[in-house]
Amino acid sequence: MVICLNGLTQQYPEQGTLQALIEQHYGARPGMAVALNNEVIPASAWATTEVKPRDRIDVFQAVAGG
Amino acid sequence: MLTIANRRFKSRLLTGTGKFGHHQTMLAALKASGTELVTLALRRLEPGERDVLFAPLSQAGYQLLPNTSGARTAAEAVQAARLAREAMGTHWLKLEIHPDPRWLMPDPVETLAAAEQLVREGFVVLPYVHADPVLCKRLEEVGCAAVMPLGSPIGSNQGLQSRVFLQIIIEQSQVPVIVDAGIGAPSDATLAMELGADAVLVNTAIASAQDPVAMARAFQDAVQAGRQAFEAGLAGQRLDASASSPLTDFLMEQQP
Repeated sequence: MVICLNGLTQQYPEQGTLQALIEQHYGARPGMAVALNNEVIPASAWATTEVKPRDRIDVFQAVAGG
Repeated sequence: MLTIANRRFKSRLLTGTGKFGHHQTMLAALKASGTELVTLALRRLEPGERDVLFAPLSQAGYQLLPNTSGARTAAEAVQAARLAREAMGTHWLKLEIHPDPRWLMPDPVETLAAAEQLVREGFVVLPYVHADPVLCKRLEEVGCAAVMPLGSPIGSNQGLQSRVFLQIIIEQSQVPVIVDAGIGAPSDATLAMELGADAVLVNTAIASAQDPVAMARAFQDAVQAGRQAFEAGLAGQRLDASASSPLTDFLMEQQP
């Protein structure tokens, strides 16, 4: 199925979880936040959140700033 | 002690983490500055990117203050705030909404709307605003934990161009006033503290200095000096001279 990850179209297997998607692309690291179709999903819910066709997933991290 | 939202800070110097040449320099400068409260931003994560910032800062025990930089509207700022809370595990927030990248002037209408919403959602909101006494009062009324009026445009190092308005804000504020943006030299920070600001936020002036660590130390001293002067009560100014030494006519008396 096709999903949109950080603005880029990607192929992703059916019935994959958000957790698996994040680990596949970014690994386990602190200071991340994920929005699924503009709704912020807490890290505790990634493992139980299934990714669906045409989902839009945005991944953010803490960076330096003033 | 500086108290914001019931949390006490020994240091009245807040520092930004942007613009440093290297993250190790940044960490050393933060340590030298004595700061306890540091700002961060949020950006999309690239695959394979390492975290060199969040973990070291949280492990060092700093109170993190994520900003909403990049937001152009209240709705974008609210979304950025929710993401920042999730990413950094804090509900403290520097609310900043500046639609025009050339001047980075904060949008007062969007900022007030976002502040109201975010306070309702339980955020500790510290809004970055123009030095507008009326707006600062409105932000205080909707429950902001502090106000952060600018001295001059972000990163411009022009000092306290908004001085007279900062004085009005300080005089009438019931929440801490943190002078943010434009502080270019330690003397600017001292002046802000002498005027009675509760704290200052400095980023560019430290990060872009030739020696950021030494400059961080200079800012720490400057903030302490300014605060001590404020607490000691500055002597008033006057136009005409007032002698510090006794004016006697003993020289005249010695003449034969």
